Amino acid sequence: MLQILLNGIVSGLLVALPAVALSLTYGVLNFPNFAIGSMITFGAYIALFFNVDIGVSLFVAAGLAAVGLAAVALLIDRLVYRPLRGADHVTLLVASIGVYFVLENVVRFLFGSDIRGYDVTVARPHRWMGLRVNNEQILIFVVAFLAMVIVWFILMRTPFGRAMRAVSDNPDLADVRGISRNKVIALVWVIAAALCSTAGVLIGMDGIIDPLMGWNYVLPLFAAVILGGIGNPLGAVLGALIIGIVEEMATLVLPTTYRQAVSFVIIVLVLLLRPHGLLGKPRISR
Amino acid sequence: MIGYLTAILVVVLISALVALALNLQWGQAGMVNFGIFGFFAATSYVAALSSLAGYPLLISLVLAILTGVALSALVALVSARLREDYFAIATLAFAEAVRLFLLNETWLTGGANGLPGIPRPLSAYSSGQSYELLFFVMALVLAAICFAFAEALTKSPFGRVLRALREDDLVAATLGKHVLSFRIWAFSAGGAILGVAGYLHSSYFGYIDPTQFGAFVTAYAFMAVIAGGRGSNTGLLFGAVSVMVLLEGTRFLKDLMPFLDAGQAASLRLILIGAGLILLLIYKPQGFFREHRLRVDKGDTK
Amino acid sequence: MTEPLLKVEKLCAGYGSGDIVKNAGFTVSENGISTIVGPNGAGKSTLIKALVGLLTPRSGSIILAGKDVSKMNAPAKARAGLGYVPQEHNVFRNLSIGENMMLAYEFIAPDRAGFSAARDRVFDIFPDLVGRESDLAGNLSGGQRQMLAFGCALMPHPSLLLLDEPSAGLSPKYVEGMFAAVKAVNDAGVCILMIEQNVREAMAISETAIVLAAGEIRAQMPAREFMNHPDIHALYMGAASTRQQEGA
Ligand SMILES: Nc1ncnc2c1ncn2[C@@H]1O[C@H](COP(=O)(O)OP(=O)(O)O)[C@@H](O)[C@H]1O
Ligand SMILES: [Mg+2]
Repeated sequence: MLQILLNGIVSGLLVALPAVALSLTYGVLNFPNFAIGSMITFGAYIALFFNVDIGVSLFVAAGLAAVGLAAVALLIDRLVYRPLRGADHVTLLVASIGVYFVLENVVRFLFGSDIRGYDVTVARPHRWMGLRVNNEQILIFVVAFLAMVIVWFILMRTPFGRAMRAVSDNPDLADVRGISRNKVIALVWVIAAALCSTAGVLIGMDGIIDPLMGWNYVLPLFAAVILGGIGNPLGAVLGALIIGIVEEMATLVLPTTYRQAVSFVIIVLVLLLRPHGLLGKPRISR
Repeated sequence: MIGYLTAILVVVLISALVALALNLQWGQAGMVNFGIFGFFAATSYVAALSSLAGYPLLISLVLAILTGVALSALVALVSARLREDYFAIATLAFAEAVRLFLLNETWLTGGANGLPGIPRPLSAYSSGQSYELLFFVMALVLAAICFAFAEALTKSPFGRVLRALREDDLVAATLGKHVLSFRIWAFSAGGAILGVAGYLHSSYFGYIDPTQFGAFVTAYAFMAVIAGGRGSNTGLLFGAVSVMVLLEGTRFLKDLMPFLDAGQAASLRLILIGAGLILLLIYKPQGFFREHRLRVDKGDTK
Repeated sequence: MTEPLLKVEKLCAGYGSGDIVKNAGFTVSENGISTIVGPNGAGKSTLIKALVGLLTPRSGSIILAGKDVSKMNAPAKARAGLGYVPQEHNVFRNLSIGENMMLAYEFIAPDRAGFSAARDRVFDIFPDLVGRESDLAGNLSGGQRQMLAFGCALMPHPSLLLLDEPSAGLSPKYVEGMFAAVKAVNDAGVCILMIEQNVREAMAISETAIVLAAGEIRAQMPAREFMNHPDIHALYMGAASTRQQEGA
């Protein structure tokens, strides 16, 4: 039981990283970014390129991937989302499907569709108080936890974090408060890219790397964000942890291949029963 | 050559039907069906399974349509009151759930291997190239019926209410509860058309597997609807045909660039689809056939 | 007369096709309170949104303290000294009161050091806000929220403050306090241009009245003259005979 809880928390933390990214972009840009999965994939492959093809250590490659993906995200914002600023959110979400196609298939074009892996040695799992813990899990735990703390600090304790929350709360009022929306949006993309590429590398270390790896996370991500309340990044973390634990517990009664169905069920239930998410009251709308 | 031409035309017709369904659901009723490929997959599989079980054309077709209607009604019943973006997420989640089911219930669906050897309808009457032609004519007749159905719905008082709902919250507010049933009907009507599309798809190709139904189906359909001018059925015809002809045209990329391998050519095609969709949204959000749509709308509102 | 603080000329603005504000021209002189009055839907809020840059003017010019700000976007105008309290949605409801006040200051005012002085000044005017910095702004009552919005707009010490119906939706008890606050802020040296429907109370503290009807400026005159005007109705409805009153 404890083992299941542990595995659930770790896989929940893995979902939490991009879930926070999704939540931030959802709040500030006001549309659900369906390309979030392909951002994870893209980040994982940038790291793969540096790690396997160039031969730097995975740690350095992960850093380069964050920078690279941030540049890609800013480019996409400039080319796609900026010309569509102010469009209704259906237009933006259809556009994000277009972005998803481009990103995922650029990966296929450059790297092929075969399953790949990083150049790391896999250590044997540790045993600790009857629990089986492997190094990847410890790494995921530490990295995800650190990332959460950093994002929390930026959001809650810095002027730019306040500005981000302000734009997602009331963009017009943020304008008259002297906050430059494009700067805030750029910062959100950089943070989102860093979170997604980190998640991509961690997923790649723990499992496999293929062009579909990110798409498989799209449902759990949306489930986590909806569960936590849209535009509420801290709620998304909670949502992600719940998804992770419930998925892990579901494998006791369901075939593992149906893991993702948990997200589907959660999305349906939340939308039916608590469309404002778990965290109490409806988010005060603009 | 005739064979190739009819093959392309059948594919175009099937995609046009999917787009026609989206045009009813999204174009008319404002319901952003991002999971349209899931409904399409479900009807295709039902058609395939019933054909494999030996049922004749008509029964398989009706079963596929019923599946489309029932699933659409169910999904709409649950989520019709949701905001646009939530609705998109909910339908996409549904489609992914369908995909999971198709992949994992191997006893029924063949899993990742799919279902081969689906009997071809009307094959008793003809064979070879003339069969291709026969199938195309059948597809054309079915598509024409669907188109007439969609057009009749659009022109009917029902269609006018739908558009009013889409454009004006005040109307929605005054209609109150009825809004929900209007939306469920519209979504189910789209589901019926997807049933026809699914039947044609599985019986034409004779083989289906889960990879044929991905988010790219959603992308095609949105491209066609946007290119045709959202809400207009006639515009949609042009939109669907031109988008599909363009997309089929990109198959020749491989001949133009022989240095690409098959996988690269395929991904280049999908990159172009994504880029095309984005360019369309930025430069032609009203579609290429705007004037036409305006005329249709004016005719309606007198 | 000295150069006016704000000079608006031939301003046109709107949302879709067609202009809501048509060829608006008026001036706001230094120091006083000017009040825009006019029927509902006349375009008063639209005019102010065009002034602060939430709506890009289609033509015309806006001169603030001798500087042409017509082409600036809203953040730039805020930094140029234009403060604005919208009619509704005028606080960040999911942020705390303290954060609202910080946000109102930090992206406009150049020096970080002046923050606590600015905050204390606002607390002096609105003592109700004191000690509630960690409360969520969305949980405030209508009147308190209006005070917070007003206070926030004051934080960076704007040279011209635009208020869109500051007394709308307030209970009578708060209405009086609100006008007193407007007067107090003005006495402290902030020039004010406001929209008001409580015409009598507003004119009591205003120097200048500006009448806007059907998107056009129908008249600008001293407030006292406006209150004694024989035919305010005609002003609102825009009978051609009243147009000669233009220009104060
Ligand atoms: N965001 C908007 N989009 C389109 N039209 C608007 C918008 N806001 C206001 N209007 C229209 O502009 C006109 C003037 O509105 P407004 O400036 O709010 O009037 P006032 O503040 O004088 O009551 C009204 O007819 C209103 O319907
Ligand atoms: Mg107003």
